[in-house]
Amino acid sequence: MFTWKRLTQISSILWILLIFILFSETFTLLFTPSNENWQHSVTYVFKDVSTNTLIIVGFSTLIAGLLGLLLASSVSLFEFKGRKLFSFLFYLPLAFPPYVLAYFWMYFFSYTGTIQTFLRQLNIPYSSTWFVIDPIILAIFVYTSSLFPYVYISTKALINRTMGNYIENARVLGYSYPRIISRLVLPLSLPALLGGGLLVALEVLSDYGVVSYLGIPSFSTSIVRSWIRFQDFDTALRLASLLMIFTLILIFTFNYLSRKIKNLVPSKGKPLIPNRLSKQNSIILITVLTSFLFITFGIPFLQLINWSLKSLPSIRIQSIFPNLLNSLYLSIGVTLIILVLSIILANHKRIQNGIISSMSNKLVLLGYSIPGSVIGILCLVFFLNLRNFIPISLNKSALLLVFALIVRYVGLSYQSMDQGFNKIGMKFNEASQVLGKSYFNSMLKIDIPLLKPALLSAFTMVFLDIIKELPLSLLLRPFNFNTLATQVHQYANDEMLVESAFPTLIILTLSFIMITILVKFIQKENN
Amino acid sequence: MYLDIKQLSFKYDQVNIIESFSMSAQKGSITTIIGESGSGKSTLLRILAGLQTSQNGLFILDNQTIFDDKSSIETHKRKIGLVFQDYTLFPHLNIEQNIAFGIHSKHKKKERIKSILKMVELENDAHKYPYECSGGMQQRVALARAIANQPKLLLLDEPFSNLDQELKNRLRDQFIAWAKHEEITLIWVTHDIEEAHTISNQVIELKNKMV
Repeated sequence: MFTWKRLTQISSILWILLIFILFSETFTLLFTPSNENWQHSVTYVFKDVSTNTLIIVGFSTLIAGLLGLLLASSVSLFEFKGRKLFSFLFYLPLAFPPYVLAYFWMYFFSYTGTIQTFLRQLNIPYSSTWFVIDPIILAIFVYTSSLFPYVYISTKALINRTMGNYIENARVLGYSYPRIISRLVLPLSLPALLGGGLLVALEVLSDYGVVSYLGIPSFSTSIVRSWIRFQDFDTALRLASLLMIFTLILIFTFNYLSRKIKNLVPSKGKPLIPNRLSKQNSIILITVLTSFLFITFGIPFLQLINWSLKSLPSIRIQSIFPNLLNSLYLSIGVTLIILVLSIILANHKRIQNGIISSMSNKLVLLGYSIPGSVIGILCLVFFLNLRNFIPISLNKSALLLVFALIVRYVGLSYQSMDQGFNKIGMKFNEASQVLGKSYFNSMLKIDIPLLKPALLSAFTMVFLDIIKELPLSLLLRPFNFNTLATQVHQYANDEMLVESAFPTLIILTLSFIMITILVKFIQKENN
Repeated sequence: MYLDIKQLSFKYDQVNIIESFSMSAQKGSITTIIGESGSGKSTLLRILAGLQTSQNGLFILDNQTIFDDKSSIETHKRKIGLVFQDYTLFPHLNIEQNIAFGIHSKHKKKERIKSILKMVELENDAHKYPYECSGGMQQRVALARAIANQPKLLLLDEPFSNLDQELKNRLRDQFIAWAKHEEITLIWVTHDIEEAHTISNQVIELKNKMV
């Protein structure tokens, strides 16, 4: 009999097959003879590319982890004026596309930029060499300041939910707060730090905009250059395979570490009641947090508003509107498809704990962990092969782009859905079935409403990622199809930073709205 | 007989959980199943409700074959209720909506909900959500929800185990009165032998996976 359960099973198997075919192409290529360009890349480029990638990923993850931990500890452990506002504001940098920050900070320190112009106006003597910043250091700063919320969000939730009794015990035993953070909060937060840190590392690995703008040779820039500039598809695909292996090693390392510490950290505990700070300490903490937010978020945001106002007379608003619509259609449409697919896959894992669900679990996550440029190539190869059987026009429809975005981001939504299903389990669905509702009706009337927090959080995360997504849109968009992100990239590449501000501001506003809805909803749920 | 179960067997991972279980019961009777932890009591209820599938066996209820070796009626079509140990009230629905969830007929639905609420003495708390209710109240809602749709058979999996003795006795007696009033046949799982003998028409002990 054809039932909903059977449908989820068939869908999962089809999805696994599809992903398997998609990824197997690259690995098989590694064992075939290579061309001259590849030999050249291995001899002269590979060392630089690997070193740069390792340094940027390593330091960005480490610093974002440290910042996330300290900020989460500050707003969880202490009660002070504006604590709730700060708790919310630290989510916002997530809305900033890293490439926009790279454009801004490059401008900020340049000869015609804010800081040097300011010094010249005040006749303060300076040397322009003071403001020559190493691109790798700038990239690390940019990634850290836009991605630390990943660690902040997971760590804050863990501290608030589970650490109440441990922290109270430590205080009774005479521990000072710095010691509590280093001896207690840090080790107990390791699962959240690893989870958030992995997301940071994967985002850095997959990013193209920042390294491309700052001219840093990295895996993603080399892949795109081989493909687009040199038309050398073979080398691009080989580089993509190596990056995939690198990414898989990273994931396995993080997962191994997570498994190692799993038993050392309690999953349940007492919620934390923050300790009221003295007036003096409150002022110090508020000053530090405000300065941090001002540097990482306030300065670029104010500059964007300033530029937007300046650019309004010169830019063609009519050219932005269709791109806004494209961005919205793409983000909302793809996000909705991804939500449905991830519900099917996560539900299959819930009802059937076999080899298929376990495989689909890993393969779905693989998509999110592999850089956009690699996914782009894999999907293109897949569709080119598919064209031998089905006539598809790749340069006229957004089908290829939509497919690639689904492969890339379904893992993000799946994780949320899987956690949601784990939390509610089967019991409510079963209770509904024994009360006379069919499995599908029970899903609609009981499971879906109970999954609301997971659905909203998945929708927000995927929407935020797609609306600012760059490499896939650049590589796979149909002819004459632009999104706000590609328009920003185009302006920035043409050295028209002022003109790029308005579309960036639209991306930021949409992202702020989504984040605010999510945070408000989470607060309401917690209450 | 109103209820007939014959030669029901269930294996999980090649391990026999229930072996050749058989029983019969009259309409409106109370059958208690006792046995040690792991003896398969809860699994038996889940099989009867349709949440798990047995390898062998025949189950007839009210002259209708619920399952045999070849076919099986889907859970939601069986008209068999199950009260879980942890109540499993839907957290996003209030008391009234939880009770209404089990009533499928639109005919006089409101009156039915009202009378059930009155019977379980929860008329004044109808709009409360599960998290606003005490353990005793939650238990009454779970039982009310289960009997609201007048199931042909109601399965109870240690329904009062989370309550203190005094509340447990009071609620149990109240519930049996409601069930008798609604003429519902009950299969009741408990580990309390004294309770089993006090409330039931027949007591079945599951030992070494068999009756």
